[in-house]
Amino acid sequence: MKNQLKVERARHNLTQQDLADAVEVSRQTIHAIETGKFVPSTVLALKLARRFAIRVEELFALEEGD
Amino acid sequence: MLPRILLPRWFKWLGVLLYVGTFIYVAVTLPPMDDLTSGVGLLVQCLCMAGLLFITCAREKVEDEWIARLRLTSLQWAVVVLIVVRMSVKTYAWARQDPSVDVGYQTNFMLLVYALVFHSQLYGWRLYAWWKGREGADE
Repeated sequence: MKNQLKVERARHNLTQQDLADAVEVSRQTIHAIETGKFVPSTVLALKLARRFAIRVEELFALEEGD
Repeated sequence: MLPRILLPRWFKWLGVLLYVGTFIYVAVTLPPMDDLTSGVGLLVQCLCMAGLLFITCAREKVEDEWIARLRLTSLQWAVVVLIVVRMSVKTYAWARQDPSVDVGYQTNFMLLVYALVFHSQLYGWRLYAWWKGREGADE
């Protein structure tokens, strides 16, 4: 699964820690999602999308093979 | 591992203190660890195991789903490594016909592997970022 988390974070001028605090997770979690090591749960994906005021599909997208 | 069975965060440092303390004590005094008539060996083993248990069960600053997944994968690795090591050592002892080979790697070994795998995954990326000249640490 690919995501636009880093792009959206840059667009909103947020650090990993700012975003982590906003959605109540650790900074490591944001880093793991951005690097594709971790696919978040539906709840966390919705929280992230809500923080950026976009739809989940705009933030996360399936890749070939998913 | 469910967050509700985790210990407070300061237990990690208590665990490190207990583990390192007993390790140094054993290295310096060489107590009779397997002598069942001696309470010292039992006490040292219990403190060592309690230390590892505190390190592995202490809460992280933020307990979220990524940390929960790290705990699960670390536990899986610890079980696999324990089984492989025990099978290897037992096979080695059988092949050598040597009863003096220590085949008793059990709970403390598994907890140690768990702690190493968990913390290397949790903090490894920070070391990597430092190694790469802080590149990617907080982009």
